[in-house]
Amino acid sequence: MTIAQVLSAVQLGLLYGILAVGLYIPFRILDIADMSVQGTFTMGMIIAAVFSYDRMPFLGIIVAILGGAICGVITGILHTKFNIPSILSGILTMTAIYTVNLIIASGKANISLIGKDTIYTIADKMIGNDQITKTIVTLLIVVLMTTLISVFFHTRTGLTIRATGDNAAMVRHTSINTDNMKMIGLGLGNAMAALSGALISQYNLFADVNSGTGILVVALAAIIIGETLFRRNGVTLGLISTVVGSIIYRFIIAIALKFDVLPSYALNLISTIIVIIALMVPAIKETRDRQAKKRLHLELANKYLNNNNNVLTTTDKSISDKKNISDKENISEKENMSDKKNMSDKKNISDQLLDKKSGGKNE
Amino acid sequence: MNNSNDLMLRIRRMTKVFFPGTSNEKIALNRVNLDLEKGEFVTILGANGSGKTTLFNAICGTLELDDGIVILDGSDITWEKEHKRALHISRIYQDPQMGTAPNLTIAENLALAYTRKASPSLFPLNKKDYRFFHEQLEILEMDLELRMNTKIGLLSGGQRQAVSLVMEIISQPKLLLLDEHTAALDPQTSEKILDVTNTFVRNAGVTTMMITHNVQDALTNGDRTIVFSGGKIVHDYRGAERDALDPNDLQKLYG
Repeated sequence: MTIAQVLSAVQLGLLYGILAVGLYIPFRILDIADMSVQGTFTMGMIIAAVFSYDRMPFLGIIVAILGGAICGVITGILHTKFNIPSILSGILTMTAIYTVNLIIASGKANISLIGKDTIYTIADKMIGNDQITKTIVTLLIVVLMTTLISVFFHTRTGLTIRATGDNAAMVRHTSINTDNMKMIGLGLGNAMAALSGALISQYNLFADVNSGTGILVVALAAIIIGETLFRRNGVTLGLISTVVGSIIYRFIIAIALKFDVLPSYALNLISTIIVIIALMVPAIKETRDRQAKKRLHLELANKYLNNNNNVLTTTDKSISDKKNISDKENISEKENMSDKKNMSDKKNISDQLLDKKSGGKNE
Repeated sequence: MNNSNDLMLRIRRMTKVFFPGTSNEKIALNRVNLDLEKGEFVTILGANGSGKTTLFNAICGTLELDDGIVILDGSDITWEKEHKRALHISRIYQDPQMGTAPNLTIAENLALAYTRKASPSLFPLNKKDYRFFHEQLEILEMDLELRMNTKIGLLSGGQRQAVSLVMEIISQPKLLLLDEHTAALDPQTSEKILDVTNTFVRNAGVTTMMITHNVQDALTNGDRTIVFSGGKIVHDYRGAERDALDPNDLQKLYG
């Protein structure tokens, strides 16, 4: 891979990493599989593109974040206030957003930003190198967002949101409205998805209402790869591993496309396969561990059984030997039964014992 | 006899019917009247299905009543939402899993329970609160104060129940409901938790109701014992009458 390819993979990994973080919040922290992320990602793209087209790239990003947050809260209201299952709420919002996006784009299916100012072109004027600008700007935004989110999840509200995903009943018992917590979480997640979309449209200088297709699997891949490599451990590490997972995913895609395993339009298939493999890893590992354990156990058990059989046979022998001896003794005793001296000796011993017990009363 | 101002909880005509109008119709609570004085510790006995837990669910708001009024400390809470009443009512369940969030640490769980009573601050785990939690955990004498950054999910059932108890106490409730909270524990742990319960309840002077199936526990703890049967309170023992009770006689009520 050339340096340009590596940089491009890192940039895309970071950009889609924000989306993955956006899915991570509802999916892993709130335990809600939020489908509306797909809609808000595209919405972010369209809003940012429309504003950038009118020479307002910064405002575009902020409005995109707000738009995403509002859509997330709408999903939350559908889910919590009207008791619609979370998956269905997400699908409803996602589908509705498609039309909203077309309205925002004044009926056009795509917007080109070639020749327009974006945050990247503006920053490039100061730095001077296109690739370095893209990497640094994206990295800065990702670091800022993950830090902010991580700090947020350590505040009182953040803690309550985490607890809501963990044990909602218990949170209600501490007199906290879990509905509000779910809405905040969904709003934050979708705001991140929209931010990701907004940055990507300015990065690619292009926005399309259909670019959300298959995006959920991309975000899921990042989360799962991150977890497979770093395990689930705390919210800060979870966010970092998700971003790193997203970058690794981009490298896998880049390599898969480089070796022409599949044509470039097979991206969704490759993504799905990566997710399936990453999801299969724990199950495969478990089965392998179990089999290794079983093999070891069987070996030990066989050894133990074999040894034990030997022990059993030897003890059998020794028992029977002893039996023989005692038999002989018995016989000899019987022979000596008539021997009075022997009898009296025994009597003496028992007498002595009795004497000792009674404290020498016989004397 | 009682000045109504001294009453923490007043329940009138509390009625709940499950599956009304079907062949499975079950009257879980049948016009129950109950008064609890401030600081009273009442133990509740009764066979399965006699309405004890339904009573708790109705007080907590998990269940909507068909009829009746619930008045807590002078204010009518009959139609108040579950999470709103939870500000004043704490409850511990039989299942140690229910009262704590497994993926959060002991300190975080305590901080969560303390949220409503703590002085406002952006971060829940400030030094002052941390020291307070440490003190409360020390009362348990279970060395949990040394493991405050351990995830609750890694603790045993007894330890989790003990943490639940601390959580409920630090939230300073007006009413504490204990729903067979020692039933899932081994005899020694169960005794320990009961001990701690008594310590906390006496220290905080909180009005408490405790459901139990152990007649001995019902008579040795608290200062009043109620017996439920068929959705009604059939016996209400207190004072000298209660002290004179023989656990074996009470046991017969189950038969």
